[in-house]
Order: sequence, then C-alpha cells, then structure tokens
Amino acid sequence: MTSTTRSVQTWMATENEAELESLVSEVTEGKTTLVNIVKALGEYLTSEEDKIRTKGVELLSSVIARCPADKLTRQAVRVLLAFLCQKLEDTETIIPALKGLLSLARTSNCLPEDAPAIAKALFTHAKMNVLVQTVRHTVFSILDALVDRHRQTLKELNNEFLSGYLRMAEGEKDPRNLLVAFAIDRVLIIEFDIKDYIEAFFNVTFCYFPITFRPPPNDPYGITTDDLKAALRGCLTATPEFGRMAIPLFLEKLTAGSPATKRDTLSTMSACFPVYGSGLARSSARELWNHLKLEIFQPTDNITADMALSCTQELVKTIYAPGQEDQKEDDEIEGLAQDVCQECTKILREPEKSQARPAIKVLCAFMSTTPSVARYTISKVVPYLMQLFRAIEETGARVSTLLLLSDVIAAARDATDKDSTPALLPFKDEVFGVATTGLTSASMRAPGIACMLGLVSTQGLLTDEELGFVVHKATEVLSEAAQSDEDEADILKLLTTITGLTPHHVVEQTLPTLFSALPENPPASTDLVAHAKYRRTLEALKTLCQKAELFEVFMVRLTTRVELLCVPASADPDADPEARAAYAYAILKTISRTLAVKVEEKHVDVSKYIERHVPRVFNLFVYASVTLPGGLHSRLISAAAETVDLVCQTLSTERFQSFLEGTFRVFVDGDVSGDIAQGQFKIPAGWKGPFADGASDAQKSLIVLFAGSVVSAYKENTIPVTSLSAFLDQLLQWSLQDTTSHVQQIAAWKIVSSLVNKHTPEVLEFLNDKVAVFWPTRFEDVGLDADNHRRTIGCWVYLARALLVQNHSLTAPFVDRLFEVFPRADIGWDAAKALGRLVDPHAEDGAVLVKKHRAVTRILHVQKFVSTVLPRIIDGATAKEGGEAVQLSYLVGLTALIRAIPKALYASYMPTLIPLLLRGVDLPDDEIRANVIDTFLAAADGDTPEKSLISAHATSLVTKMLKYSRVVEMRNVRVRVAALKYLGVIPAIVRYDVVHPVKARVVKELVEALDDPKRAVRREAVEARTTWFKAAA
Amino acid sequence: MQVDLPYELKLIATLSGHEDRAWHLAWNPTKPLLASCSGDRSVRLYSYSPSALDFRLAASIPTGHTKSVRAVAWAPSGKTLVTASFDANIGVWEREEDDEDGAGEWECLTLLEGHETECKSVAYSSTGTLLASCSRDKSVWVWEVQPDADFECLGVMMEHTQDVKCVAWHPTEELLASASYDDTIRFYIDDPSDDWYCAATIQAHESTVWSLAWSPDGRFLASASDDKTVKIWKRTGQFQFKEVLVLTGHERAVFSLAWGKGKGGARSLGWLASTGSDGIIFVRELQEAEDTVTERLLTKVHDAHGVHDINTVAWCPTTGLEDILGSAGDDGNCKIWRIEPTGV
Amino acid sequence: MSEIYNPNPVIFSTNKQSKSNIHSIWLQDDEGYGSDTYFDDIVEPIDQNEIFDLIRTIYDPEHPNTLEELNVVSAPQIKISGNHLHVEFTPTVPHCGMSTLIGLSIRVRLMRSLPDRFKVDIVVKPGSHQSELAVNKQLNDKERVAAALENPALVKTIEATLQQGVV
Repeated sequence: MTSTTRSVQTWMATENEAELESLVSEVTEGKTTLVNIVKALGEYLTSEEDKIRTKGVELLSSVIARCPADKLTRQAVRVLLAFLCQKLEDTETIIPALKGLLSLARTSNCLPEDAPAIAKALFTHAKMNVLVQTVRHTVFSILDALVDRHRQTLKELNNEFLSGYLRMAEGEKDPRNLLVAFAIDRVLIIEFDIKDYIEAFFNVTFCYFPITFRPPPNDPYGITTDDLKAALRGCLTATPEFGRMAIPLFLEKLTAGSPATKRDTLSTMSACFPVYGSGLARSSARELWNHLKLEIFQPTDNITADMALSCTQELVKTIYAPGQEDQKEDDEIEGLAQDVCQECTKILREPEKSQARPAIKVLCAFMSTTPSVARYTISKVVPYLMQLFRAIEETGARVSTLLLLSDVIAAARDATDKDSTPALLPFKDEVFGVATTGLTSASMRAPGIACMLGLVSTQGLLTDEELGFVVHKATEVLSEAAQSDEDEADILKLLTTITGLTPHHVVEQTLPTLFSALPENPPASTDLVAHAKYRRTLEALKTLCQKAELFEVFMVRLTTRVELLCVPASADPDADPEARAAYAYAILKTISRTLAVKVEEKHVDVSKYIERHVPRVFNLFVYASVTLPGGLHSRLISAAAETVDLVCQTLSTERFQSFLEGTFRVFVDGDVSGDIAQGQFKIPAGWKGPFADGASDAQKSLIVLFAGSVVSAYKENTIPVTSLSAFLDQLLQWSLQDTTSHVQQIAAWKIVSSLVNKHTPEVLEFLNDKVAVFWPTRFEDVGLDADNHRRTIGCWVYLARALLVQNHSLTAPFVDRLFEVFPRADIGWDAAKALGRLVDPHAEDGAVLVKKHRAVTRILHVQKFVSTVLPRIIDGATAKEGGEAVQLSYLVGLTALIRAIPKALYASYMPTLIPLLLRGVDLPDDEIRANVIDTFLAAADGDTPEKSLISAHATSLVTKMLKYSRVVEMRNVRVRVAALKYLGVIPAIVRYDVVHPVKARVVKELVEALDDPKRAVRREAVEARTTWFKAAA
Repeated sequence: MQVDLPYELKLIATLSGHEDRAWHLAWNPTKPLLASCSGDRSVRLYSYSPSALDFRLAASIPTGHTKSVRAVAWAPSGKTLVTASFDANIGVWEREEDDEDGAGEWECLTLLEGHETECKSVAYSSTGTLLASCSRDKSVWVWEVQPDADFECLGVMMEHTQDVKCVAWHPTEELLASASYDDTIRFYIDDPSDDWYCAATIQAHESTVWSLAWSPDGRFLASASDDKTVKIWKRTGQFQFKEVLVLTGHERAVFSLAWGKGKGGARSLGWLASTGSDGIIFVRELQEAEDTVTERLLTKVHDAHGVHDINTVAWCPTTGLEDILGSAGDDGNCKIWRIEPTGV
Repeated sequence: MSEIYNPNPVIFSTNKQSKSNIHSIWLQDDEGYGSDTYFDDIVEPIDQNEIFDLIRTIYDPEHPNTLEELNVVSAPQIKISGNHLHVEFTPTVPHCGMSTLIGLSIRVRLMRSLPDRFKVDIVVKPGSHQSELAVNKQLNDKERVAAALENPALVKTIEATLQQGVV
C-alpha cells in the first residue's frame, strides 16, 4: 500500500493535520499526484455514508488549496474540475467541492474552455437559497474568478450566463457577499450585452439603494458602509440604460428619506447624471429641480443643502455639457438654466429675506458649471442686482443687495480660471460704481468692502488706476473708522489684499495718512482714549506693512518716532514721562510684533535690519542710559530687545559671528567706537557696559538688550571671550550680587542658560564646580537669607534647563541639589516649585531654549525627565518618614511639575495622584491651588463617566470647587475661574448617580458666583451652571 | 427699618429646608402646627409651643404630587390638611394616629381630580362642610365634605375668562369669592332651588388679582393685584361691594394678603398684612370712619426675605398670638415675625 | 410646530464690537492673565452688553438663526437700573405665535445666568405684536412661568433654543 493511500486512510480516520501535511508535501515533492489522491480516495468518494463522502472531498479540496500552483498541471486541473463539478450534484459534497473549485478557478491552468462548464454546473446545482453565507461567498468568489479571467468565453454564453448569474445574485443579503456580487454586476453590465436583462439588473442592484447597512461594533470583516455604497454606486453608474427607471426611484428616496438617505441619494445622483446623459437630464430637468429646490430652500441641514447644490451643478453640467448638438449661444441658453435663473432672480426681489440666501447660492453655483451657463447667469443676475440696488431706498435692503452682489462677484472670480478674461468684465464699470457707493457710505460699508474685495482679487479685472482709486477711498474710510471707533478689520483686509497685487498705492496714499495720525507728542496719561487711538493706528500699520516695500517705510518712520520720543529735543519740565514711555513702548511693541509675523513667514528682507535697525537701537539705548537720569523705562528696553532678537533669528552663521563680536565690544568691553552702535546720537564718555564697576542701574538694565542679541547665536559661533567658563562665572556672580532688579537677573540667566546649552562640552568645569562647590557653599552660608537662596534656586533652574533640554547626564546632579533642600522650612517650597519651572514651556526662560533660538534640544527630554522625577516625587509625597512638612514640599513639587507637563506623561499615575492632588487643593497657596485645579481640568479632558478616576472624589471636589468659586472665600480670580471651569466639566466625566444627588446644591450655590465682581468669573459661572442644569436632567 | 413707625417686625424664626421656592403656608386653627408647601413638591409641618414659639420640624411630607404644591389649607377642625398642586390634583391628608406632638405619619386619604390644569388655591368654608378650589382651567369648584374623606362636587363655575388665582370663603356665611388673571373678582352662592352660581362680579383691578382676604368681621374684602395696589371693598348689600380704600406703596406685583384681628383697639377692623414681588411686608391697621375706611401704617419691612419675592403672608389664628405673622418666599424659607410696638 | 408664523424672516448681519482697550495707557502684553483687570479689585458691574451676550445666542424656535441675527433682541433694548432688569424684544412678525416661547427662552436663560437679586421684566417692543398685552402679561406672570417650566415638552423646546450654551 502506497504512503499516499496510507496517509489518506489515516486522515479519513483521524482528520490528523500531520497526514494532510505529508500528503501536500508528497505532491509538492512529486512523490505522488493529485490524481493519485483521487484514486486513493476512490471508495470513500462513493461511500454510502454521507459523512465519509463529505470528508473525502474535503481532504481533496484541502490538498488542492495547499499544494503549489506548478503541481496543478493542466491535465490534473481538467480531471479535478470535472470531478468536483460532478460532486456539486451531491448535497453532501457540494460544500467541499466548491472550496476545491475556487482554488482551481484561480489557477493558471484553469483555461477559458473550462469556464462555461463550471458556470453551468454552479447554476444548476448551487441552490443559493439553501446555502449558508460562507458557502454562498465561495460561489460568488468562483464566479468572480471566472468573470475576471475568462470574460470572453462567458460573453459567448451571454444570455445563458446572465440569467444564470442573476438567479444566483437575487435576494443576497450578506454585505460580504454583496461586495463581490456588486463587483461582478458592474462588469456584466458594462461588458456584456444586457439588453434583455436591463430591468433584471436594475432590480438586482437598485433594490439595495440606499445602503442602510451599519457594521456591527468590532465587526471582524471590517466592511464599512462606504465600501458597500461605493461598490453599489459602481453598478448604478454602470449604464445609461438605468436612467429612466432610476430617476423616479431617486426622487422618491430624496423626498421620503432620512437626512442620511437624502445625502446618499444626492451624491449618487451627482455621480449618475453624467452617465445617464444629457438627453435624460434635459427631459427630467424640471422634475429633478423641483425636488432639489426643496432641499436647498427648505434644507434639513446645511450639509444636505450643499450636496443638493452640487447635485444641481452636476445636473446643469450634464445638460449643457460642451459638444451637445443643440448648444446655443450664451444669450439664448434655454431650459433649466434659464428657468432656474429667472426663478431665483425673482426671489432676489426681497434681498433682505432669508430665502435670498439659498437663491444666490444657486446662482453662484451655476457659475462653476459650464462657461456658457456661467456667462448666461452673470448676464442675468448682475444687471438685475444693479437695477435692484438703484431701485430700493431702504438701507437694510440695499445692504442685503450688496451682500448678494459680493457673493456673485466672488463666485464669478473663482469660476473663471486665471488667464481667461474675467466673466465680470462686461459689467465691471457698473459693479465697480455700486461697490464704491457701498464702500463710501457708513451704513453699507461692510458689504461694500466685501464687493470690493471680490473685485480687486479678480485677476485682470481692475486697472492700476482703479486700484489706486480704491486705495484712495479705503484710506479715507480707514481714517473715519479710527474716528468713530468702528471695527477696521475688513477695510484693512481690502488694503492688504491690494498690497499683494501692487503695493505702491498703499505706500503713497495710506501710509502717510496713518503716520500723520500718530501724534507728535504723547497724549496725557489721563487721556486713555487718545492712547487707545494711536494704538489702533499702530495695529493698522502692523497689519498693512508686511510686504518688504511697506515694511521699509514702516521701520524708518517708526524707529525715528521712537528716537524722538525717548530723547525729546526739549526736555520740557511738565512732560509726562509715563505717557511718553507708554507711547514709545506701543511703537516698539508694534515693530516687534510685525517683525515676529515676518520672521514666522520667513520674509527675506528681515535680515538686512541688522544694519539698519539694530545699531540705531543700541545707539539710542546706550545714549539714553548714559545721558538720561534712570535711563529708559524697562518695558522699552525689553521691547527693543525683542526686535533685536527677532532680527538675529534671521542671520547667517557668519553674519552672526561678526555681530556677536560687535555686541560683546559694546556691552562687555564698553566700547562703542564700532559701527554696531552708530546712529542718531553721539554717545558721550561714561559708557562702560552693564558689568563694569559702578555701572548705573540704567546701564545695568541694558543687559536685557545684550541678552536679546546673544540668545539666538549658533552653537558654531565662537563667543568672543578668553574663557567661556570664566565669563559665565562672572555673569553668574554679577547676577547674584550686582543686579538691582529681577529683570536684570533673568536677562543674565538667559544668557548663561543659552551659552551653557550650546557650549556644554566647553564648560563642564564650570558646571561641575556649580554642583560641587557653588550650591553647597551658598546654602551653608549663614550670611545669606531666604531671598538670596531664592535667587540661587532661580539661576539654578536656568542652568539645569540648559542641560535637561539636551538630555545631558549632568542634569541629574543639578536636580538632586533641589531635592536636597526640600526639607528646609525657609525655601523648601521654592525648590519644589522650581521642579515645575524646569519643564514649564511657559517659564520665564521658556523662550530661550527653543528652536528659534537655535538651542540644542533632544526630543522627549521632558518625558525622560518626568519618568525619573515623577515617581520620586510621588514617593516623597507619600513617605511617612521625613514627616508632614517634607511631604508637603513634595506635594508642592508635584503640583508644580504636573501643571507644566502634558497629560500623557502622568496619566498612568493618575490613580496615585488624585488623592495627593486632593490634598494639594487645600494648601495655603493660591498659585498651587490654581495649578492643581488646572491639573484636574487637564486630566478631565477625554475622561468619561465609565472610566473616570475622580468619581469616588467627585462629591468632595464639587464641594471644594464651590468653595473656591466664591469671591468671599477666594480673592484670587485665577482660582475662581479655574474652579468654575472644572465644576463645569464634572457632569460630563462623572456618573449620573454621582452627579444627580449634588445637582440641586450646585445649581443653588453657583448663584453666588453669578454675582462675582469679575466678568470673567461670571462668564464661567454661567457656563458651569448651564451645564449643571442640563446635567442629570 | 423706619423708626418713626409705631410698630416693628421682629423676626422670631427662619424655617428653612425647602429645596425650591416656598409658595404658601397655613397655620393650623386648633393646634400649634404650621404647614408650608413648595416647588420641591413637599409639605413641611412645624410644631411650636404657643408660649415659647420655638419652631421644630414635625414632619416633611413628599406628597407624591408630580408638580409644585402651590397652596395648603387646614380644615377648621384642624384635623385635615389639603394640598393644591400644579399637577391639577388636590390632596387630602390626615395624620394616622393623632398624637399631640404632631409626629404621626401623614397619609393621603384621597386625591380630588377634576381640574384640567394647575390648581392654584384651596379653601375650607367656616363650618368646614365645604371646600373650594380653583385652577388655570378658569373654573372654580365647590365640593361637599362628607364622612370618610369623601368629597362630592356640588358645582363647577366657569365664570372667569382666565386663570383663577385665589378662592376665599366669607368668615361666617357660605359666600365664596374668587380672584383671577382676568382682573375681576367674582362671588358665588348656593341657590337652594338650584346649583351654585356666580351672584356678582367686580372689575376690581387693572391687572391680575392675586389674592383676597375677608375682614375678620366679614364686612370688608381686601384684594391684591399685579397693578401694585391693594383695594378694600365694603360689602354694601348681599352682593354689592364698594371700593372704599386703595392702598399703595408696593413697588411690584402684590401676591398675598392676610387680614387678622390684630391687637388693635375696639374700633379697629384688624391688621392687614400684604406682600409681593418687591419683597416688602406692609402691616396696616384699618379703621372704619363713616362709610369709608382709613389706614394706619403700623410697620413696613424691606427685603424681608433678602432679595427674593415673598409669595404668602398669613396671621396666626390662635387667640393671644394675633400679632404673629408667617411669610413664605422664593428663598425657600418661611419666616415667623412678631409685630411689636417700636422700641419695646 | 405645524404652522410656520414667518416662513421668510429678514436676516441681519450681526455687528462686531469695538476691540480697542481703554483700561490702561500701556499696550496690553499678549499674555491673557497677568494683564491688569485680573488681580485688581476693580468691580466690573453687570451691564447691558453682558446681558445681551447672554441672550443674543438664543435660537429662534422657527429658524436656524439666533435672536440677534433676526434682530429680535439688541443691546439698546436692555435696561438695567439697580436690581431691576427690563428686557424688550421684537417679534419678527406681529402675529408671531412664537413670541411667548421666545420670551420664555429669554427668561429661562436669564434665570439661570443672573444672580437672584435681579427682578426681570420681559416685554415685546411696544406696537410690535398684535396681542402685545396678553404676551407681556403671560411672560411676567410668575405662576404661569413656574408652571410652564414644569411642563417637560415645553422645557424640551426651550432647551433646544438654548442649545448653543452661552458665548
């Protein structure tokens, strides 16, 4: 007995996988053939016992399925096909037989001439209504394979195949099978001659429309509604023949259907129109439009309305598709387009009514259909609106008319492509006139501007003179707006749009007007309105002067203005220094904000201001620090520093190197001979730089300016000092001993931080000394008080951050030092809070160690830091030894840290954190309290009643939040706001049974916050109370 | 608190506990027991010792009404309590075993259904044999009180053209008055040969008539209105009423009136308390002069319930306590006041 | 709502408010917090605009538009004196059967958003509604309002008009 026979017998007895394997490998190795296996199976395949027969064929099919293609020889395939087809007759063997057939149908040795036999066998023996889904799926798959590979031969069968197939496909319900069936349908409809079967195919496809199938939750087959929709749509759009029958069905679904159905129908129709052709579109246009109209004018919702709109577009496109034999000249467009145009323009008679909106939408939609329809529509709508505008007196209606017109203009602009002549050209002068009327009359300004915007942004419509005219008018409006304190955003948008096309008009007309609107001298500090007024002008300038040409003028004029303000020609006695400073500050701030936008958008013209702007700034401030008592206001210095910083961010390495050298000469050596501080003013002797002995406060304060010019240096730049470590030491000492203000310290520390970060390897000695000597000595020094220590901790944060952001190994010892002082009563909490500042993007130095300042940073440094520090803090906060006080310090550290980091980093610790945070809320420190509440807020985001961690504490949290929302309990506005915000989210993240019992109380007690002295708090109170009213209702 | 007024209102007790506005309160005529009702659908009962006036919560009845309980009223016997609710029903309540300290379980003996919409007021006739109720359905019902908490409807009067806000029985006769959103007051009696009918109507005010109160001697009727006035009507014939006095001073709608004997002299018609949306409580002594009536302002207190509306005032009927006034407000509280001569 | 009282109402473009700050002579720094108003003790009283902000976003029961867009409410129609608040609104059409519902929505929004001390009167603009007195009387009848708010169906409708929450 051959091994084949043995394996077959054993398998039949045991169904042992191993036997199957060995059979397969025998075939693979050529030791036996499939035909042999059939022989070996002989008796089983004819057995009286149903089970045996089934198993027999099963084995065969399994082997076929597994054995390599090359073993399925032509001869084998032919035999097996015949064999299996015949096994279809036997209800016991049909299932495994189908499996086998599927494998074979997919092999290359299954030739066209086999296809008809297989198909016929299926048609006669596969009774779909009695087969289960999986088996039906096999049948469809076989048919799919045949249609896919042997289309031609099947086409020869045509009707026989079609009718056979249709019988099988009919009544299929399972989405998995339908996906295959739809694929087959489409091929048959397109490629076969279905003239006798159109209705049949229509029924077997359209009966599924619209697809209402919703995939079961976590459905293993991952069939989506869209898969089915797409597949079905493939069939519906397969032949124009469906058109006549389809349209009524679509319309029925559209009227009767749910919003979902409506949308599906609309997009399907859009897809079908082009296929069904212009003839049908034209003949059923009226009926279609009557239905679409409803969806547009009495929309169920906006999305559906828009889809109806684009469906209408498709319809029109189809009807007036180019190359239609009865194409007419534009002016004699007939049929739908004409009717709808008339219909909609009629509605426009009442431009202020809500129906005018959809009407204009339709007309605008027409403009992006076909060129002829677009031209036709414009030729009808534009004149109509013109005449309407002239006819009506009532302002409200005129405003609405202009608004409608602006829509038309915009639509016309977007419809015509760049280089072709603007569709609006024929009506330009009239429209331009009307738009101007709107622009120049206060009551119709907004829509007037909207129209103008459309006009100016239409390629090749307005001439340069016309643009000049617009700018002229707009400039007038702008100055009026300033007078009447109107919102000027729109008019500025118009002007900026024009600067995009051609700047010179704005340069010549608008800028002078705006500059002359800036007062020579500062208004009195009592005159708040006047101060607000020039700020508006500056805001306008900022918006307007982005483009190089304008920005240049802007810089010259404003920098000069600053100089004049800071160093008044005549120091008149009754001057108002604060007002003067405030004015100058506003201008500097405007410069820096404008620069910020330009740097952000990488404008190339920024870098040249290293010569034009920066020296003037240095010159001015140095001069002032020497000549003016007390120098210039610190706000001015920091604003100026911002401008320098921004310019520096655009420098090349080389340019930066030379700039650095200049800067160091000015600030470190106190040498202003170089061109780096050239400008308006002759700097008298007495300038030695901020670090020099006996430097005045005013001069020391210029460290801020110095910082602004250093922090964005490249790490490749060499710092022009003999020893960097030594320099840093001096700087540090200076910051701790010689500074006279916090601002000065921060500036110094920013420099230190930036340099350490970019030159770490170079300054290791410095760093080690800090950890080993500097820190201990300062904290052991009894001569130093808590303030000194706070300062030490202050600079420590800057040092540590410089290392932390690059994942440097030295970070650890720096952090350890902070932990060491946690137990100290005097500064324990300060050290703890410092932990948060180490990773707080909003910390004072946050802006230093960032990309734009070319800092050396590693990704995930925060994660790395948190993963080591957070567990440590949690332990400390919970550890009994060390006692209450130490625990509290850790708690403070925890709140500070958590506040500063993204939720993801501590989410996993939440269960442990919640009880700690609950304690934190009650610490006697509003900053901490606010932090904690913010943390709860952050944690709440994405939280749900099902998995919420705070459910257990909800009631006590509610009580606390209510307490902190009351002004009598809590003076700090930030805490009140935070508390109310959090109160507002609780109902969303806590189970009903927790919320409900407290609802009445919350609603009642929130009344007090509704009467808070601060508007910001009241707003949150209203929000929160509204949510609670809705909650558990 | 004006010092130039002869009397002042001394706050004796603040009874909090309702979770929603307190709509109404009623003193038990025979026992030291006070009932209040609220938007929270509950009724709270307070007992007190007439000497010490120490109010203690005796019971809180959830009532089972599905909407606000707008009004409560005691039968003259003091045994039965009725509740009028926005759920259109009237509840009839008695205490299971009548132990004196008022701690017994209160049970609903029966629920009078018939009104179509919110029931707004109920009242027992002086003898306790009749019960009247009114509703937004514009109707006034008169029920006969029969043994075993059985009530038979004797008449339904659909005279008003709008909500009926209040019903009030004459202190001695079987004469019923009703006040309405239609600005009128109507009077009803039982025609021996026929049914109850509306015997008279007066166009009383310029806006909703919220409340009515008969003078203790039954010769006068007071009405309070949304038009901010209180009017005194003299009964000049069986069904004739003449306006004899208009009391002004309220700054918003007047919601409630109470007319008690007070502690005035022999010629006094008693003390009239009024209150409303302005949160002011007025107490006036009325006196008769020829065919008119004169007022004497005894006292006036602003913000008696803080910033809140006051919905009801009611005099304690117990002899000796005629100077005790109760009030119920939107703050959910009931307050007990004593009217004392200033500076005592 | 079977009957539409005004199928084609006038839509008004809602106007922006002036943004210029006149609290200080110093240009405000970009940070939201810190900048004055936040920590000082200056009391910012509830004013016309704040009330308007509360009711402008209420939706019209008949249209997908807010009361502001339909000019049903406007800041000048709001008067505050002490604890007395007087709100006037303008129905889109004189026969608008929705007026009481609109008024009720306004009342509910204000009841929920204002401290108890306010006594609120809500009336339709004089001459703007054919049954002006009836509507006003109903809107200001405390008992009717209270009862209305115990009517689940009605409350549902009102909640719908308040859907957007507050600004």
